Amino acid sequence: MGVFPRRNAILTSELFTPLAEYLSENLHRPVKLVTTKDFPSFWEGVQSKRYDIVHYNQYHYVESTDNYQVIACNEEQGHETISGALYVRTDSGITSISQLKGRKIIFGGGRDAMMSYIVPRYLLLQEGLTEQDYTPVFASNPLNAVLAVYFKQVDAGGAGDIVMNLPKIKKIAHNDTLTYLKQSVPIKHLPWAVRRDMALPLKLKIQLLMANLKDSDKGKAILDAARVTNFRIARDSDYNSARTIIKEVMTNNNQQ
Amino acid sequence: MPKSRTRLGAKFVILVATILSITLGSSAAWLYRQQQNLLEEQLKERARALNNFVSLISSEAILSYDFVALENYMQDITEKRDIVFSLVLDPDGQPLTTYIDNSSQEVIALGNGKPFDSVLKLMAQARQSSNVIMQSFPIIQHDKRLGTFIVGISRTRLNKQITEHFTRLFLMYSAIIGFLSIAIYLIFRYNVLNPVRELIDGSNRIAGGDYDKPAKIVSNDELGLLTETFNNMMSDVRSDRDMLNFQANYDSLTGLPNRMQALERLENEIARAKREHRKFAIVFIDLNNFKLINDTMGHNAGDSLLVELSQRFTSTLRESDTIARLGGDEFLLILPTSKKAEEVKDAANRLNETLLEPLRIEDREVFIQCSMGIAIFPTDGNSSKALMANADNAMYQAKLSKDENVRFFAPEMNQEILARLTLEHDLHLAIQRDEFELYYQPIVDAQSLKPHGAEALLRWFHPEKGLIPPDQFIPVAEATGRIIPIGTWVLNAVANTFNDLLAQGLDPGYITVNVSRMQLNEDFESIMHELLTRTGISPDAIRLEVTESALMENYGDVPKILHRLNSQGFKLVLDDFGTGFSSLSYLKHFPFKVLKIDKSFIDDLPDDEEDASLVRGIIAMGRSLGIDVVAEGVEHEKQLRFLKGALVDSIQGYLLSKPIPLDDYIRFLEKNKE
Repeated sequence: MGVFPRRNAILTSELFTPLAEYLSENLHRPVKLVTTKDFPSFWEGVQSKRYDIVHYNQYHYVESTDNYQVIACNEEQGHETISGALYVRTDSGITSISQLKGRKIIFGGGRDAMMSYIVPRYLLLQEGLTEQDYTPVFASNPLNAVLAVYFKQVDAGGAGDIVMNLPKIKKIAHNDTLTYLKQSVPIKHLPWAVRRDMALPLKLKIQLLMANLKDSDKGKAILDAARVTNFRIARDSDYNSARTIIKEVMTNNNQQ
Repeated sequence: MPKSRTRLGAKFVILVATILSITLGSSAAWLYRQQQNLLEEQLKERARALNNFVSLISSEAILSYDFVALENYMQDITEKRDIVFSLVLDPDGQPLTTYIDNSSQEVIALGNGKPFDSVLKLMAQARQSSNVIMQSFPIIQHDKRLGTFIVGISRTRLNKQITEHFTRLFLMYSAIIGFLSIAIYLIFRYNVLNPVRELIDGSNRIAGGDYDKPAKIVSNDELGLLTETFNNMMSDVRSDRDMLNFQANYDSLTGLPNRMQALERLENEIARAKREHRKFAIVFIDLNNFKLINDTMGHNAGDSLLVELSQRFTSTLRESDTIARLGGDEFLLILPTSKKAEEVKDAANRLNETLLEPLRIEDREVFIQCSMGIAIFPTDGNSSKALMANADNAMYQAKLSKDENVRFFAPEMNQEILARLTLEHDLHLAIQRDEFELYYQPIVDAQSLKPHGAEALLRWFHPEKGLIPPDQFIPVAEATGRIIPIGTWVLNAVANTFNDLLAQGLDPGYITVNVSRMQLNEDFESIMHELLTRTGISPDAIRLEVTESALMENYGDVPKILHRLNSQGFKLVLDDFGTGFSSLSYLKHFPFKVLKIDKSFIDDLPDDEEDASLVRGIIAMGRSLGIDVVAEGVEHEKQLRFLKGALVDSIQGYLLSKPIPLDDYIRFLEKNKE
């Protein structure tokens, strides 16, 4: 089971080892959690179909649909969808995306970060702003991107819309100092996919096992450990909106 | 009320404690400051260390927009001990962290209980607080300033630490001061106060008259030396006191108690006698003619005489008796246990007996006699003044008496003394008042009965009392020294009279003048020389008559004086010959040309065979020695016949003529001239 390095390896291991053990137990086969130190290592594993089960973001899924099929997605804080957003300070005077022309915009992840880069880029493209129209900078994670906006280090920041409400952000930044400049349409949350060439019964079993976790205390504990409220069943079509966004952004990137 | 005095020990302890307090207090203050600076520097060093750490880790975070990491860093730092707050600012001064520990005591204190909502507000408040050390450090990466790390460090713990430290130090120093003060006080007390107290006690003892107990030397240093010096001084003072006491109470010449001591003992004896209801006696002793001895033999001889006399007197006394020298030639004898007159008389006689043997003074034998007056307590006085006065009166009467040199006081003596004093006073003025007159008693040749001279006899006609006999006033004159001016007056009067007689064609031959022993001093030669010079009379006009009894009392330089007078041409007459103890030795030692047989040998002539033999012998001796002999006091024819038969040279007496005034003498001369 491979999990993308959204978090560090130790944390990733803590979050998903219970799930892996659960699957191992119920699949009667060892399910080994594989963590990687960086994304390239992880992506190499995806591309080489090293993982039977993989958890990554929407962009990763869309790029790997040839080899992997989504079976479930995260439900985080009771939501199975997530929106991307552009953040500004309430006192910045920026009320439209067009005002970001010539400004510095920070993205809460790399160019493969769905909510922190791709979706916010899409929101900017929708208003006609390409990367030539602003100065893009990248934070290591969405929280820092939002904090960068709070600390006035950038004019706007891109990250998931839930980031502003995270306890960490609330602790550091006053709520009333940050606001959404633009939010995207909801997009299915982070997917769980299996190799397409996995036997269907196994796929289904894995899917069910994950989807039924909420029905038991042990399962809830596994969900808590994974910092999700549930694993919801997901289909490929659930990611069509993501595909559209990804395509436009990547096309624009390629053009530049 | 005596002024309150702070004891030396207390003063010293206060001084030592003050010095120690100032010294240790200053030291503590300096240490406090040093400690404060040191601890503060340590806090700043911690800040620098934190900055080093922050500089290392924050650069990456700032560059990578890792504000979560920065916040975590600031939280970690702020939660460290003594850190009030920490934050990172961007180059524009915008905070990149927001962490505040509102639960911190220091933050609560800064906010007066209200939580801070902004780290910048907290920093602003901390900047105004003296309890927070603010340190800021730039965060620089590759010479580019990325931001500023600011940390606020609380002095609270530091102050508390210092306060605790210095509370302990204060207690310790207080204990040291207390201990040292006590120790120094004890040492000071032992080494200084004790010796000083010894000196104070010694001084108090001296003040109380106790010179016998020296101060104890308790240290072997300057104080010990001071004590030793003090003891030496005390010893000297005691010696001086004893000497002064001796000088104050004892006669320095004879070692006998002096007047003051004598009076004190007399007072004590009177007090005792009053309590015990008993009698006691005092004897006032006066040496006869002591002044003459002083004048003729010198004061050294006089002193030697007094010393030997004192020893003789002392040897006769009992232990309970007191012999004191009152001064000059006066002594006082106190006889506490002599109650009866006989006992007192015995004691006086014993003193007299000591005078029978001559005193050896400057290789000469000197005889001296004394006069004693006795007064009995309480009969003759119940106070020292009364006893002394009455004993003195008795002594005076004894002096005047020819028969007895020891007299008991009798109440009538006071009257006699008063009369005596009056006489002395009047005698003092007699010459001025021209109350003296010379009478002349002719001296005639024994065979022809023709006058060839006269004796001048002094008469005093007192304006109130009339004629005062010579035997009354001459002793007074001699006792008071008035005899000298009186004698000089007589000589001048005789010389003037002689010249007057010559001028009248009358030749008295010679005039004999009685010369007192007291007149025979070196001045007398000058007086006689001046007399001759002034009056121009011949020396053989005046014959100088000296009594044998006067010569008895230590002749001293008298022989030389008489020889010199003789060599001047004056004839010397020895009066009252035969009445003294060494009549013949006088004739040997003195150049007498005439001697007068005393009346006492003439009175019973010719019936008394012994007197007759003596007179013949005297006349024969005189003739053999070439000395004229005059018989005095011839009052009867049978006396005259005898004396003529004995071939005496001259006669004088009432049979021929009593002493007559000048006018009568002139008529006598005129009659005999015919």
